[in-house]
Parts: sequence; structure tokens; C-alpha cells
Amino acid sequence: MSEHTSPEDRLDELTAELPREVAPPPDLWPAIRAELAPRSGRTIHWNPRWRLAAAGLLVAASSSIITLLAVRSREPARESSVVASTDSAPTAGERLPAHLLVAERGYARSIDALWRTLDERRDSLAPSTVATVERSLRIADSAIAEARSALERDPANRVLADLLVSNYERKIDLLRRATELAPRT
Amino acid sequence: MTRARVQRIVVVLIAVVTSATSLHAQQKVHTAYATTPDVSVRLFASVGTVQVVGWDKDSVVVSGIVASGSQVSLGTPGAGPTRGLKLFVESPTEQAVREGSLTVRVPRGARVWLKTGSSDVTASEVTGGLDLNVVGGSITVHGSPRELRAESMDGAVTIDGTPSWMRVKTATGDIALRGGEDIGASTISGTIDARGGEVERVKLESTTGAIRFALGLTRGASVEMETHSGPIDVQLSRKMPPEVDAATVTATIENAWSKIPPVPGREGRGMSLAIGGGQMGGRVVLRSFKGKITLRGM
Repeated sequence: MSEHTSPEDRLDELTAELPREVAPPPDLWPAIRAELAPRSGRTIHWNPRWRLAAAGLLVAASSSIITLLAVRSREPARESSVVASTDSAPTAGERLPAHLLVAERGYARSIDALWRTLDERRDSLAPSTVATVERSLRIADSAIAEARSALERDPANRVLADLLVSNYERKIDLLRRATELAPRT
Repeated sequence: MTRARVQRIVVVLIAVVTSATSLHAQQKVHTAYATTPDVSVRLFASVGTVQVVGWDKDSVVVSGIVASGSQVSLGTPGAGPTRGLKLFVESPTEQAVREGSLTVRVPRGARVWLKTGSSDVTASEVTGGLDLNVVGGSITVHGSPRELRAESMDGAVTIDGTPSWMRVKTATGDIALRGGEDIGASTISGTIDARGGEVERVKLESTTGAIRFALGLTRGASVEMETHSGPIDVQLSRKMPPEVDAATVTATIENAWSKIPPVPGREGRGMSLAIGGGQMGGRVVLRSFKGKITLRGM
């Protein structure tokens, strides 16, 4: 090696002298395999399909809060008249677990669409039916608000989270059934 | 008074009497079809009561009385047995929807889809499938169809058989059932009363309505009950005790079924109760926000 060689050239020379492959001692492989085996078992859950699903959820989550809070903000007005709108900005929900916020967004979109359909059909339903539906929706909304408020104070409470989800699902189911009622019933 | 004038008055009187009579008049309905044993029947009926009766004939017979002026579309019986029927009866006015009654006889193995407004619906002896949907009327099912879906807004739903698969939903209507294999019942403010039979898998849920459960459990049964604010009253066997997992957010749990006491929840709010059971006794999960949970022996 020359005295005038630059540090980069010197490094190149040294690395060039290194062997291309270094085989590990034979008795190391069993231990390495033992370490790797469980990890490869776990990675099977992250096949492309799961990654796509996770990506989809992430995309859905990014805009869910807007819809959710838009719906929440106008629900009181719907007791007398249903007007669909999605231009409200998020104002709450930060204290809920992330997965619930994602779920809430899905619920909010469903509720929004069903409300619009129900509003379009409102005149074709009997007033007594509309009254029954609205009374039940108020009960459902009250339960949702109560469970949600409690969950914001105790975000780690899984029982509360399950109850909140169930309340949403019952409300959506009620709305769905109301939209499927025959005219004049 | 001239003769022409008298004739005019008579004509007017006849017209008035006829129209007044027609307000309360009813028209008869009767039609029959040869069908396959598993015929699918879709019926929209806007009448006071509807009875669906399963029988041992491969035919569907629709008979009864409907309000005069009703739109009736019962199709035309074909030459051979049909696999599907669509029948339609709509009352002429909103006031007339509670008038009249229909009886629909179907093969026992038929699948019947029935949608009505405020009719009281009774179905019996059907072993195929029933999909019944009412708003203000009640639904009563006798016998054990293979599949049963019953939905009502504010009418009561009573199932006194043990269907293999059943889903019942109401908004304010009460639900009464006797068990089955795979059962689901959900209501907003109605009550759910499950007693008198056995169950393999069941989920009962309400928002404010009370839930009462006194069904026997098959081996390895799965039972879930959930409410926001309705009380849950559960009777369980002590001979074949299931595993119990109960929790409330703010309400109390009273355990009169075993000697294990519930424990207060975090920060002293709510309660939980965990009891290990025999492996064959199944599992019971109870969840409530603020409705009291009571466990008792049966």
C-alpha cells in the first residue's frame, strides 16, 4: 500500500482483501434457526392481503373523524327534520382509542346515508311509525352519548367500548329497518 | 213533482247509499296454486290479520276478506307446480289497513316472506323458513321453523317454538321466546323474555328494555346478554353450572346463584363477577352499562 493513498482508497483496499463470504461455525445454525422460527411464524400474518387491509383501514381512519363529528354535530336538529351534511369539522373524539375512532367513522357514514334515505321516505310513512322510529332513535342516541362520554373518561375500559359499539349497531339496524318499511306503514 | 225529478232523486239516493255501504264493505279473496313442497312465497299484505298455516299439501291457498277497493294481485294459478309466488294486497286507505283478514296455507317446508304494516301475524306449523316483518302489529309463531326472522317496530313478537336459527328485532315491542339452537334477539326499549326451553347459542341485547333469561343450556352453550340500562335477570342451573363472566359500568351485580360475590369495579364504579364453571356447562357473558344484573338459580 502506498503512503500517498487517500483514506477512501485505503478503505477500498482493505475491504477488497476481506473474504467474499464467511461461513458461520456449524454449531451456530441450530441456535439461529431456533431464534428465527417463531419470528417467521408471526410474519405470516402480514401477508399482502393483510397489509392491504391494514392500509385500507388506515385510509378510512384518516377521514372518518370528519364524517363522524359532522353527523354528531347535527343529530339534535334531526329530531324534527333530517338534513344530511358532511361539511362539519371534527371537534371531539381525541380521547377515544384509535380503533374506536375508526369504527365510529364507519358508523357515522352508515348513519348519514340511512338518515338521508329515511328523510326522503318520511312522507310516505305513517306519522305513528315516524314517531316510533324517532323515539327509539332518541333512546339509542342517548345511550351512545352516555357510553361515549364514559369511555372518554376511561378509554381503556373494554366493556365500555363493546357497549358503545353495540349501541351504534342497534341504532344503525333500527335506521336500516325504518328505511325498508313499506309506504304508509 | 215531475216524474223526471223523482227519478233523479231516486238515483241520487241509491248512489249515496251505495257509496256509504262501500266504505265498510269488504271483498272476498280466494285463490289456490299447485306448488313444490319447498315453494317460496312472498306476500305483501295490508290487512288486519294474517295467518300463515303450514299443511301437508303441495299447494298454497289464500283466502279471506279484505277491504273493498283493495288492490289485490294474487297471480294466476299455472298448469304445473310452481316454485315461487308473489302475492300482493294493499288497502285502499290508511284507515282500512286494519280491516280484513287473510289465511295463507302453505306446504310445511315452504319459505314465506311476509311484509305488512299494522297486521297481527300468526304463523304455525311451518318447518321451512319464515321472514316476517310488521310495523305496528304483533307477530306470533307457533312451531319450529328451520329459519325464522321476525322484525317489528312497536308490535310484540312471541315465538313459542324452538327454531334452529332465529333473529328477532323490535324497536319498542316486547319479545318472548323459548329457545332454539342459534338465537338472537335485539330491541331498543322492549323487553326480552326467554324461558321455557333450551338454547345452544344465544345473544340477547337491549338498550333500555329488561332482559329475563331462564332457559336451560345445552352442553357447551354460549350465552351473551347485553344492555345499556335495562335490568338483566338470569336464572342458571346449579347442576351443570356454566362459566359466568359479568360486568357492569355503573350498576350493581347481585349473585343469588352461587356463593361467589361480585367485586367492585375500578374507582368503585360498577361491578364484575367471574365464576369458573364445569366444561360442559357452557359460558355466560353479561354486560351492562347501568342496568342491574341479577343471577339466580333455576
